[in-house]
Amino acid sequence: MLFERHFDSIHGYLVRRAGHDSGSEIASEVFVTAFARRSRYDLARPDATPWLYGIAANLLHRRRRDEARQLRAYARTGVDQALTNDPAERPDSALAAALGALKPADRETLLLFAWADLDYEQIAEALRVPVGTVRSRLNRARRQLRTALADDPILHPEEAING
Amino acid sequence: MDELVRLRQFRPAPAPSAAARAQGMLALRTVVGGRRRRTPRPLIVVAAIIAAAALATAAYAIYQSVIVGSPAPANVKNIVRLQTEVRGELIPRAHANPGIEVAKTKAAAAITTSVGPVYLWVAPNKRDDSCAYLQIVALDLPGGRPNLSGGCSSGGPGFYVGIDYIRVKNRPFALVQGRVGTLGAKTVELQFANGSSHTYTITDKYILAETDPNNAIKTAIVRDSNGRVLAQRRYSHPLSPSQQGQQLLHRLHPTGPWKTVATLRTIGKHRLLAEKTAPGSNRTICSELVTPSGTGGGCNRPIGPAGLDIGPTQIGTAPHGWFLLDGPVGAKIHSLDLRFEDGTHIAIPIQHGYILYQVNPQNFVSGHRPTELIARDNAGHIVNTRRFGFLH
Repeated sequence: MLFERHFDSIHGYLVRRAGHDSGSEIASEVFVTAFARRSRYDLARPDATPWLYGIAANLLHRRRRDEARQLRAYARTGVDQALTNDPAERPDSALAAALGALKPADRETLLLFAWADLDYEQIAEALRVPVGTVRSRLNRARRQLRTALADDPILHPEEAING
Repeated sequence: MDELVRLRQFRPAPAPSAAARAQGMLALRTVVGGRRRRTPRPLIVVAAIIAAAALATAAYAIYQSVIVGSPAPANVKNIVRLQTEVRGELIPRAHANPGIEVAKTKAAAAITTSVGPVYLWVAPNKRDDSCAYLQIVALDLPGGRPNLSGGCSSGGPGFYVGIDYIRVKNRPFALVQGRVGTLGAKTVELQFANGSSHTYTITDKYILAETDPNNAIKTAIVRDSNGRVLAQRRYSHPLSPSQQGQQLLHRLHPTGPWKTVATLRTIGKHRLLAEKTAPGSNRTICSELVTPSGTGGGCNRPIGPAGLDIGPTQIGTAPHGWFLLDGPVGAKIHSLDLRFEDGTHIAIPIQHGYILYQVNPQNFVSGHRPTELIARDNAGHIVNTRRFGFLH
């Protein structure tokens, strides 16, 4: 049941983080790990989503060098290896560079918020940190991104036409 | 543009991938299946929403267009097919479900519950196993995709019953379910810890009904059409969802330090894997397989002197996954050979009563696939064997 309900969202998130092959592999590992750790899951929790993303974060953490390397390569070359099926869809190498420069914990928090659509409480549960820490990490990460991207604006089509 | 908007547009979320889902399900089923082989029978009932199903007499009625005995609709068959015809499998597995006849999937039960309709779909396979898939309609996926849980288990003459505990939309929900293969069996009477009892009619070897999540089964009695007792089972710890859960999750736990008994460097990437054991509660032995990506295991009764509790475990999927043979061997077993289709064989090292061995991917080619494990004592006599099933 857990698998059926959550696989697509976990898989989608991990593919965005780690690319098609690694993302699919880690997604499988998330549910295998969840099964192995089922004794630690509190059935009173209404939603397993944060728990699963927490497992995903731990597994990604072990591969953070791969992700950082991938982001650096993208920033350098403009070729996003995470999107091997459609590498040219959004050549936002500046954003890749900015993401790659974030502290791993800040990046994790930011991407759980932006890509996994978890709220502050869910992120706190997933990463086992206080909600206050989530807020400060998010603020820091967003500020850092804003600063990094300030000189490299991507305009909306309307803005481009009007500007 | 706001940095969050820009971030959300960066690397758009991929469309759901049926192949990835199937591979993920395979990896999970492999681990679940690999561990289940070591799980005591009562725990099997708790751990899986599988194979079991049931039928109260009223279930023969038509419910929301599902008629018991009628063929499954195409969307159900598609999911059954997806669960059985997965890609990425490295090697035939002993617990695989060869030859499932998806086209013959039919409704074995259709009941009305407090969370809506619940169906049980069953399909035959060439091994005469019991292949059953439970569908709780309230948990169906967007787009009308059935959310099936199930698989195949031994279709032998024995019986088991249990209570399965599931949270459905944050509500506790319990199903009493079982499979009764006893020849001539017509009913199962369940006597509960609170003094009540209920008799369920067996149809097509299954029982299925909603029950009180707080119920605990003390005794299960199988009877024939004349009321004669054919089989009976008393549970020393009454089976209830919570107690089963306790038994599964808490009662069986390590009571001593973990000790590494076998290690392995994987072929290619040289990742270190380890098999660890520790004394467990209730006279069990706990074991776990430690891999770079996670740890899985459980606590089980010690095996006999000629025991061979080796399960194939697939981690990851083809072509990069690992196919492992791991588990304990009995004290009497002195050597272990892995035999291939072409008659060749190799010795599998035994480390402190355990094996942890990766089958070389080069041995997966047709005509040279592993077929059997052969255990010998120190006089060279065969004391146990374990055959692997083939999917193709």
